Amino acid sequence: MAVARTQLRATEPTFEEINQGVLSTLEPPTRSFFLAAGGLALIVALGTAAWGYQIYTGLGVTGMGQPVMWAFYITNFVVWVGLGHSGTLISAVLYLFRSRWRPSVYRAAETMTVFALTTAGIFPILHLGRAWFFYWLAFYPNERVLQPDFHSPLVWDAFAIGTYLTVSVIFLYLGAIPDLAAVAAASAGVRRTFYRMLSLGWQGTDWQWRNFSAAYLLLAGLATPLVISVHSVVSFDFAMGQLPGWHDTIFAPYFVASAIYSGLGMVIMILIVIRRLSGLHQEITPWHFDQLGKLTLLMSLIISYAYLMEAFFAWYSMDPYEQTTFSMRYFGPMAPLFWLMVWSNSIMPLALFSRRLRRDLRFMFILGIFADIGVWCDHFVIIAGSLTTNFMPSQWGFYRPSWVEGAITAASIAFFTLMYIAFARIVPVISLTEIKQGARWLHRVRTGLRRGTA
Amino acid sequence: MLVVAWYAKEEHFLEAITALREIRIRHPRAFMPFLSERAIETLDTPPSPTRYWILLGGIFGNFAGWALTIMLSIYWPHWVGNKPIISIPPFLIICFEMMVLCAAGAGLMGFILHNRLPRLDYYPGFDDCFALDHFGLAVECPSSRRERVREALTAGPAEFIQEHSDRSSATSLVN
Repeated sequence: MAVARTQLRATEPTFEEINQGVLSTLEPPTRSFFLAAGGLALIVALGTAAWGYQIYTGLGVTGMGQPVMWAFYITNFVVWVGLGHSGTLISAVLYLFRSRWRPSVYRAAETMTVFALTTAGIFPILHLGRAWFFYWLAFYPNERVLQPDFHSPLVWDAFAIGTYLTVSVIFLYLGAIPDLAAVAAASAGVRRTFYRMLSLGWQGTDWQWRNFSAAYLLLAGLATPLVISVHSVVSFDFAMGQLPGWHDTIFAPYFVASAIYSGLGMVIMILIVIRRLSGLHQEITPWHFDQLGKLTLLMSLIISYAYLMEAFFAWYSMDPYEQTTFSMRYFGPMAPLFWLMVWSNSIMPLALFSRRLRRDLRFMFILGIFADIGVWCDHFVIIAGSLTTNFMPSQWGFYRPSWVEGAITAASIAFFTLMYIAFARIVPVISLTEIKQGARWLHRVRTGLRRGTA
Repeated sequence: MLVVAWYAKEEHFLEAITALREIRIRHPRAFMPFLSERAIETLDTPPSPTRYWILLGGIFGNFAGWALTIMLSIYWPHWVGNKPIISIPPFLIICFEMMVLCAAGAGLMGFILHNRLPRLDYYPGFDDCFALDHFGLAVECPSSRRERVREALTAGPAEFIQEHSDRSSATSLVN
């Protein structure tokens, strides 16, 4: 296979070679896959046990209490929603702009969106003392004639995230139908029947493609403002409050940029792992990371601008509460997390101005890790950090997470990874049809005949 | 009878479509492993009605959003933060989300219905290659026109051509 791949560089890849490369990711799992899945399932089980302990004992087993009532769980919720953000955005926006580098990255990104949102959805329930009453957020006829308050940002959140998850699933599934049909065509027996059912018997006629392109284009058009709205609505959870450090008009674009930034970090890591484990060197090239790197740099610059503006507003407003909150953020107990966040989100990404580093996969992987850590610190500093310094110094307090919160956070990462690797064994994480569509162009870019543009 | 042709390259496939249109076969059944916009243009495939489903879904969702928020707020008039019971800015967010949700759901429904999915049988002439690495054209014609159709199908060099005396035998192409 290595010889064949080397030869491919000299000639345009054929459809057979593309099929062979992408479909190899769906081969039966090896022993190492089962070992990894077993390890992840064990972590999930431990996290579930920790949650059981929390339900049995009460929320007192967490580090939360007056004045910090929102901490790890809500931070994790916001970060997971943010991670899910860039998947549909990359896919939808790049589709609308007919970007040539989209085919190799979009399925992996959309899959990330769906599982990140699923993981995010668990955290508000975990945060409830009586988790079994989570359905009170929904509207339904009840004997108490109570209904949700539509003026509340928390209700907007439920609508926004529910819609985003549903639309992302539809978008992912619709885009995957022709690929599932291709997998069915390349399979036999029960496997063929399974994939034919998943692809709904798609056969790729001109009329089917016509309907597909209309539905997909319009869904991409709908998903783009939806993506922007979702994290703006999440940011309203804080910006609508009066608390210094939360009540900030810049939050909506700032949260959207940080969400896309963290999502890009995750996409970069996932693609590097897929490329390495599946040997898809022809389909995912350094050029793709170059393009992702440019987008990451842009988001980092927007976040840095937001950091500067926040500091400027605090100073220029001459509001003592705001100034105290920010001074505590920069020099108080949360300062190590704040400066780690500045390093990860503002300083380290400046290296992406270098084209060589954008194509260096080791550097990009490390940057991806720091991007996600940085955004987690960012949200933790905003959410828990701002709550530690309220209007009255007598209300000030500090927050230390407990092992229960740590175990549940680790379990959420394991849950996401487990879902992702299981899904990647069933559905091609690289789009077969779109790779074929752009094969000639990609080959010309790869061989230097044409300079790639985003 | 049914004549089916296989093409390895998109250009050959397009040439064959043009040749078919010259002999007034305007709508052969075309199979494509990926979306070829040039082929759809050449075939002059009519616009998809899925667009209207999305539009109607969006309009319905928008009205449903307003109805939901206003009617439930009147049903349970909860005065919070000095905001009016019927308060447009917060309701607008929910209306927007409902609009996108219903439009996306209607779009998926339109896509499924107009494509007659789920489909258990195969179109006459379909072959697995058409989902993987070949373009295909299937033309139904009377026996008297067989030669002209064959000629047109080979205008773009076809990899392979098969003829079937009736539609039912054509499905045996599927592996």
